[in-house]
Amino acid sequence: MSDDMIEPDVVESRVGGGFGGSSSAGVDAGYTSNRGTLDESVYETFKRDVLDINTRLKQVVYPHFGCPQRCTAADTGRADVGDQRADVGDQREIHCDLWAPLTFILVYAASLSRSNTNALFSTVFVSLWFVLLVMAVHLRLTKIRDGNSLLSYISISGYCLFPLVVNNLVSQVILPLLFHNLESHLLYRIYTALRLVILGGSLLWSISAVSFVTKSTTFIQVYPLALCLFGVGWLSILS
Amino acid sequence: MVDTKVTPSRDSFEIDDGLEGVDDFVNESNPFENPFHDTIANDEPPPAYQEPLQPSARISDASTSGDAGTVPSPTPAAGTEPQLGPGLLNYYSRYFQLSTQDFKTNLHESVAFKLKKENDDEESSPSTISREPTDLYGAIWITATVIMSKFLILGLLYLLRQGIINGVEIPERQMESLYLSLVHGIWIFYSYIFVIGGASYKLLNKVDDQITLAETISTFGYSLTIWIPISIIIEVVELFQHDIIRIIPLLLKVFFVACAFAKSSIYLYSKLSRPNGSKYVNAIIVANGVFCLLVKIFYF
Repeated sequence: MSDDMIEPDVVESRVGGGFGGSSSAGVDAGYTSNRGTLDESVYETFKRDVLDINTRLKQVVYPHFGCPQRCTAADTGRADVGDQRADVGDQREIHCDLWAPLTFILVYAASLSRSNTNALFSTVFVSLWFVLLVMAVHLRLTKIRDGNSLLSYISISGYCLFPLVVNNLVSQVILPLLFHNLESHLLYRIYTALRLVILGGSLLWSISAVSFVTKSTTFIQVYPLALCLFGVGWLSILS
Repeated sequence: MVDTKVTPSRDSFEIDDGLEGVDDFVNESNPFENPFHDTIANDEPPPAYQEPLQPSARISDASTSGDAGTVPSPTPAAGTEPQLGPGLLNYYSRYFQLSTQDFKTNLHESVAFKLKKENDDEESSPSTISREPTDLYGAIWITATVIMSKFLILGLLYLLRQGIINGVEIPERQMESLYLSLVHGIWIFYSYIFVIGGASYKLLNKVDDQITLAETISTFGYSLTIWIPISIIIEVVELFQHDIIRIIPLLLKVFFVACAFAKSSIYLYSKLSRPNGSKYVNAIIVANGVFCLLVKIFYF
């Protein structure tokens, strides 16, 4: 059977990938692709999805302190696609996934409840999803003209948890290994101070990332996001 | 006379076989492509934004701040496009569209000690009462800030005192009380905002049919602004409650809760008082007192 006989199971009317429609993930696929998953191996599907997640993650992982216009279409390889296509892309719904947020939340909850009961894991797991939902609803209500769906905002908010996941892993796993003798008062003071400093840095990173990818600039837009992220980060310092 | 005019077919599937089925709906509009549901991708704003805000009748601060203020319109003007239903998320976006300057103005009014009593004139009618900008942003996020202030500030104080100064771990009991206060704060404050706010709307609607539920809830939300500094002060007092005589922090807490009650009551009175509605406002003040008592018992 020829390839033409296979009906595509997914017809994308958008350039795939990238927060704010500015990713390079969809350049190879073209604006209207007939990407199907029936006629390709599982490995190719898996690899493509992982690369898509990695592409989006890079936009959050790279700190955006003071460079709000860095991740533009031209920077991500979209310049050759054409202005018209880029304009259409700006109006497009954000291509999102929930795999990365799920992974981050699982890692966060598992590391936080490492030395506690399973009840804490489930509580943190549900709480983090609820926080993501609250952030997404806030973004949806205040930035409705951007035309992104609620799931897209949940995905964006989930990606922006990455710095806090890093902070949690450092605070809950790496630092206790380094400071294995916390009986000493001096060491415990240093340990606590380091956790506070790392939390501050990761919060700054996370808040700047979510402000950047959602193009939130005003206090009205940023404050609720910062409050939610601060609450999430604070869980790791108090445990 | 039967109309025999044949309209051009949209596609080859537009064939009526005389039977009920999917093909009967080919010519009908797709409800999932309804412009009311998804017009945000287009240049046109959704119906909720056609006229979400109206020029405010607010007299005060217009000249000083340069911001005339705006009032959301729960019902669009006659003749405009149909509005979104309350079951849709987009419907509520009108209550979250405010500028930072508007928010600062509302915040300042809620904590200012000198309030103008514009609505308690017995000769004024509900139609002449000045309408403040209605937003639910303050009700939601001021309340969240009050709740989180205890969780964050008290946790930070514990961390500084136990972890940095004493060099020991925070006791498990203190941590449990911190999480417990977070849970209590959520149900106390949000119940107050929405349940008491809703009940107050029902009461005030009897004397002022122009008052809206969002306006009442927004007023209740901004009345909680005073709880943010009060909460921080009480947390500092609570940190030292074991170092001084126990009765002193208790008295201090009662004093600060009473201050919060007085300030929030004044604000509620100035915003919700209506001609011939003094008994309802008094009931609201009593409810505010009960709320403050609950806050003292369960939260502080």
